[in-house]
Amino acid sequence: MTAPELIIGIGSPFGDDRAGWAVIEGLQAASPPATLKLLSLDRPGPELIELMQSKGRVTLIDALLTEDYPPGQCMALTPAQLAQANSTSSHGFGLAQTLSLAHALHQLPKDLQLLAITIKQTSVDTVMSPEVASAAEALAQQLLKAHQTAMGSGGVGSLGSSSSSPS
Amino acid sequence: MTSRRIRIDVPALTRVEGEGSLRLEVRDGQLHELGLSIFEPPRFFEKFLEGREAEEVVDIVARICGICPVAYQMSALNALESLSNDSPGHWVQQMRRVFYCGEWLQSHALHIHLLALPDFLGFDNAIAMAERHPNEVKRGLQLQGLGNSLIRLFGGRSVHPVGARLGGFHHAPEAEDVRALIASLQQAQSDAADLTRFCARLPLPEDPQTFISVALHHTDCYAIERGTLRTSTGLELTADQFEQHFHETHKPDSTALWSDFNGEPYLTGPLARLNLNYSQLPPFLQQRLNEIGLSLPCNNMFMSLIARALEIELVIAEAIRLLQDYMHPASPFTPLTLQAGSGYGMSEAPRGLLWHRYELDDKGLIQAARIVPPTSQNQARIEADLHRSLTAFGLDNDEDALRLRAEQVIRNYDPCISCATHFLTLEKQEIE
Repeated sequence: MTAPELIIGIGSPFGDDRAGWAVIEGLQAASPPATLKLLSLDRPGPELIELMQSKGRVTLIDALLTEDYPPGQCMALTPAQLAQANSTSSHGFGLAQTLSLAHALHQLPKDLQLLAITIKQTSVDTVMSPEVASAAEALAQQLLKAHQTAMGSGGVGSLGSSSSSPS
Repeated sequence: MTSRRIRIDVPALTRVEGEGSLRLEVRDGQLHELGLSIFEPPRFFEKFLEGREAEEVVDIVARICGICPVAYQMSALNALESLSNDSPGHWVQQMRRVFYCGEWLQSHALHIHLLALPDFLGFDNAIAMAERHPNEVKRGLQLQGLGNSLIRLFGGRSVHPVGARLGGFHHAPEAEDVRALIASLQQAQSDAADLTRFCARLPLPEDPQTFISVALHHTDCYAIERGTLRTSTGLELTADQFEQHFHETHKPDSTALWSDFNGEPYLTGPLARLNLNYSQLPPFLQQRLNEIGLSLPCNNMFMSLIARALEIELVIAEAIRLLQDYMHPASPFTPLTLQAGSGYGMSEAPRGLLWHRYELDDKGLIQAARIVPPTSQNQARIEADLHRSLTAFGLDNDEDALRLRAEQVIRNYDPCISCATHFLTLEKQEIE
């Protein structure tokens, strides 16, 4: 039997930084199967290491603030590519550092998929831009479809093998 | 290579943790100028709070810091509830202390393992350290996770929790969840004891110095969530007397405010708390003090690391004690009516005293707010410490050695600026 898939949306309440949460909300609205575990986290820091322990595929989704790509693009990253990004977070332990720490402790999930939705800026309100909201909705549908395919065929989903990257 | 920049965004307005820089000028082998520059956003929040309803404050201030939101919530509640003729009651008081124990546990575990230990074990950062000391790092993450679980029990989530409200909590934990957490806390006690012993064996520098300790004190218990302010100079103050003796001023090279106690720098935080309240530690921690040979009061700031380890042991024991006879309450809060006026409140954040003042009008709206965080209070002390410690260390040391020592000194205070592993940009100017 295939282990459940865990999808974690990372974000904050502020503008397009909600992107990861919006994907989880989109999946929740679609009444996902029990084999799909969903979690929204507000900048978890190193606690993410414990929270992402799972035998099945683990997918992390976060907003990527970038000037190099238009907002609303979804891209798959490797932890190394993420580490090159100029991330900032509480006490210096953002997503990239947390994944590096998990790697050093041999606690990275065996099947980890890291997805980013590009954003241009954040704001102090909770309103997302149309392009990022649309991208989050599309990604939720893609993830659900990929999960259903994986569960149906017993294989892994196709998403995340994309060659898109910020490098 | 292109010059493009990619960032994972965490909105600046929610982060208290900022970049710090140290400007150091050595002239003829003497420390001529030393400037610690810090950017500290909580001032924005004071303006955000104006015009808001009193009920909203607890959720807004939880956004000030991702590491110590409970402290901001508890100080705010202490201040606002001082404007009521009623009190939240015994159950709420005790559970708030448990809630706060969770924050001390997660914050201290994070600081010791991921921020401070690399300094003393010779690594650039926790990630490099984890490859050689995986068990220590895993222990730290487990303790931090346990603290987060305690915060979640009452707050709904561990970062920027949402469970606290005026008069108590929105929701009371189920007894079954409490029992499960007690078991985890009991299991963690031996790890916490090992952590204290481990810290006590580290080659921490001997650096005795004179300073004023300031911390809350409570007659019934080691002060965490409430108490009166006590100083090592013998003063005892209630929250509304704070502004008579403690003042904030702007420094030209920093956007943060600097606090003084009657014109003097002072220390707030774990070592100050231990110095003033060590006699209230439970018997097993008094034994631990003897075992590791730490005599209090202590004037070596590097012992702050051990103070945090001891406080980890304390809060685990406190949480177990307070949850042992947990009863699900009829209501998790007491409805309170607030009177218009000035409300003052304070509590002990993991890194020190956190003082709040709110002006409430007769419509229940906040007219003014003032928040004095521990990092602001410790800044003058940090700078005084740097002056003394770097000179004693030797200003002829190379830039890397000076930077490391300066970072070690600053991290002893666990300021919010210690967030970034290499937060310090050292500009050393030598003028012959």
